[in-house]
Amino acid sequence: MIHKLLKRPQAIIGLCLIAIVIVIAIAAPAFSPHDPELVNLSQKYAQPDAEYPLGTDQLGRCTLSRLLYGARYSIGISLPVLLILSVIGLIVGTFSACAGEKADHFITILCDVFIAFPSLIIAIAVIGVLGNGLQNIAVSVVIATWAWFVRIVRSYSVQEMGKDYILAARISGCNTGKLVFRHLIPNILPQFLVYVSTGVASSIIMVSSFAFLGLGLPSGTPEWGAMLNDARTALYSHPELLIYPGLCIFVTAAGFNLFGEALRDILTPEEDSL
Amino acid sequence: MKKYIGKRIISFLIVLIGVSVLSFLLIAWSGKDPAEIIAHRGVSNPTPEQIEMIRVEMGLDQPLPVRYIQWLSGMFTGELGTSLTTHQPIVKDLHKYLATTTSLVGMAILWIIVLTVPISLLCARKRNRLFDQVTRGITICGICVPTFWLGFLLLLFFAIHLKWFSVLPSPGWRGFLLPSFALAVPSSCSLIRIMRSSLLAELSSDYVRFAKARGLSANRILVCHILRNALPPVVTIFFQQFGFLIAGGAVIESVFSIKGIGTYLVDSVIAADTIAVSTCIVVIAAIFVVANFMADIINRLLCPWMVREENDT
Amino acid sequence: MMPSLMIDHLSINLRSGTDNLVSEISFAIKEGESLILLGQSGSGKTMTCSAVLNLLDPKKFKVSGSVFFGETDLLNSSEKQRRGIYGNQIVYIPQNPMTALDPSMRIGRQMDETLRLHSDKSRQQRYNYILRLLHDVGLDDPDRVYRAYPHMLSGGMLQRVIIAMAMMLDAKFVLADEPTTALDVIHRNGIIDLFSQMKANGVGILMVTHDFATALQLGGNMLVMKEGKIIESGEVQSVFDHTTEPYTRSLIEAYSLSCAFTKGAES
Repeated sequence: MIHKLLKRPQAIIGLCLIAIVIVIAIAAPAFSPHDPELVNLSQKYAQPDAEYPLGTDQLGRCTLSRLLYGARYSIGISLPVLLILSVIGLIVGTFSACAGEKADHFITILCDVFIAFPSLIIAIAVIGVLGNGLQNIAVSVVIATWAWFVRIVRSYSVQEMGKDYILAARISGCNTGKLVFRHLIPNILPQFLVYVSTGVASSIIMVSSFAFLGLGLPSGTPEWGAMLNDARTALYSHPELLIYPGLCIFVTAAGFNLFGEALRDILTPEEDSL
Repeated sequence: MKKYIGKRIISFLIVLIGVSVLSFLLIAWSGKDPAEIIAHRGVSNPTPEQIEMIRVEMGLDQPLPVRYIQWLSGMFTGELGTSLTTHQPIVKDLHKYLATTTSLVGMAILWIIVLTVPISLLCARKRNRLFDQVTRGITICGICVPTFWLGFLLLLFFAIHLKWFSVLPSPGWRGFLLPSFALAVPSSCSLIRIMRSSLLAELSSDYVRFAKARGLSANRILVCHILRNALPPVVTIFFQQFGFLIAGGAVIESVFSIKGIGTYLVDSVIAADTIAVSTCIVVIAAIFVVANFMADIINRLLCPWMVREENDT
Repeated sequence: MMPSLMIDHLSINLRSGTDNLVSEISFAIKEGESLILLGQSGSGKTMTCSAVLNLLDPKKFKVSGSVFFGETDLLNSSEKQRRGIYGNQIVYIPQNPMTALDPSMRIGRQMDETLRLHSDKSRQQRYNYILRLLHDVGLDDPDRVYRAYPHMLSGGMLQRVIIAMAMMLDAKFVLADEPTTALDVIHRNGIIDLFSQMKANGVGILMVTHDFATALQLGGNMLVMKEGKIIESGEVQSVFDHTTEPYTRSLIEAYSLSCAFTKGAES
């Protein structure tokens, strides 16, 4: 499968973008010419030059450094969040599919209730309850989207459970726990990975939406959405300050979406047969 | 059909009750004391007695189930108290802001329909040709674009560069043109992709083959036969997007300085106006549940043969 | 009189491979005759049928040879020309009647759609005509069938509807791809009777099947196909009586076996 993936330009572009953003996130201090939070009012709205490759913002902070550090927030929140969501999704979803009708009904209705709230709306409300902070952002994204992951795993599982090999495993005396971990999860994992990959993209956009709305992070944080919010006042005079952070969000999200897309194409080839 | 609708209505009501309980609990357990916040607003340094008085006045000393019932009935009678941000009755605020957001979302829906249907039909017709390939590229990009950034780009180009619009919201439908478009783009992009593959899946079915053998033209088959059968998954996702449009509206409203339910919600969250927040989210969620219910019914009418599986996602 | 449907050296290849799916097949059918293409699944008989109907995706398949309907070269005609012929002069009866009709359009409307395309009758005339046809193919309550959705009827009824559609335009040729396979045995005889009726009315029939019983019932000429080639040809009854080909024998044995089973069950 990896071999097939590497043949697709989409997958390669996607993986490269993901790799670049992750490297930037890890090595932000090494790449950045300045401290991203260093205010230098004498240098505000500086033009790009050797010292400030992308110029400075309204408080004289180095734009490039802030963009590089911004990767830390997007990646640093989204990846752990998706890890948690995947674990919750896989455990609760497979449990729901295997555990019998009553538990299944309960979980389905619970999911329906949570899904009824648009994720951004419930996340905003949860942030309101929990207050600011990186952890709270992560928790609110998890609360807002867990039901989607459970639902998708459940529907994959129900589909998979109807197949003959599961029946064969059952007949040959495989117990439910073993069935789930040995047979069910490995078989739904590829499809699920597609969902997770696009999930990373949407959680990156969601996190930056919070910051843009002024929720969740203290002001002055070098997060892309927050930078966009800061740059609003310079809409007329320095539109480039608005363009850079959005471009970063776009490119990062595109990396994960392209990768997910390529993976989906490989898993469902009939959709794209020439 | 009747039995099916009955079953759907029951589960619809259960979800609706669950939604209201969840919105209520979320706020009730927030650990914030609304009485204290209100007291702080009134006087700079309230005494515990003053806070207690407000608490009794607002009925906050009652047990949770009683407060839930009070809150729920308040929504229908209009007695939810006044908003901390606008100092107007919350119900009145909701009416006003919901109307604005509805126009915004309604226009976005128009955009979505205008963009999605013709483009996906063309893609299916000209499969793997240039138009299809280009659309594919654009839709992948469209899904990744944060709406607020797209909103700013539109502002920069159309309002500042071309000066066709003003940056501040203009009255009437003109003011909604750009924001609704920005809001519609990501939804349209994902819908075009879903509709394209749904159309293509139908294209290889037996009845299309037979229709060709009957001498019907490709265009007629596409529009009169395939379109209708390909619509159900698109309708389902379309109504799901409904909720996202309202949520995305919160961000877009902020970009274009429109006073809608989204900005109202964010302001209320920042002001810790718990009753306003819970009322907002329950209204939004209820709209979403109703929309989903409608999607089911519409699909049933579109495709009379359809027996929706329980586990259909 | 010249044969009206002439297939000459027809070959079908996959574009992506060198395999011959069908190689160098020639046959001809006159009006009022029937020809049976017999073979196991995968022998290329359905492919041949699709090629004659121009239903193969030119991006996937390469079709060579020629298919003539009267004077018209069907493989090299314009789309408009073809549309005047298919559904009108040459009609197709698909394998599975359950999936051949648009599931969300009433049956009457689908019949009307085809009729309107190929004739200039008025609305009321078309309606009466369709009802009469539905009655003629043995559907007891034509009005109910007219207003029904496909999922509301049984396979046997739907196949009758499709045959009614075939008879609707006084077609000269009927191409039937395993028209009885998806049906219960009880319905099969009735359907074959309808085919015999059409044949008696001067319609040419090309029927694809793997079932010797169907072949014997319809009669006429027969071609036996194996791996894309014709290995035997002749009148159905004489092939049944005198064949020496082991492949044909095995198909006959399958038929006799099923006869034996039915008889065993009856006694």
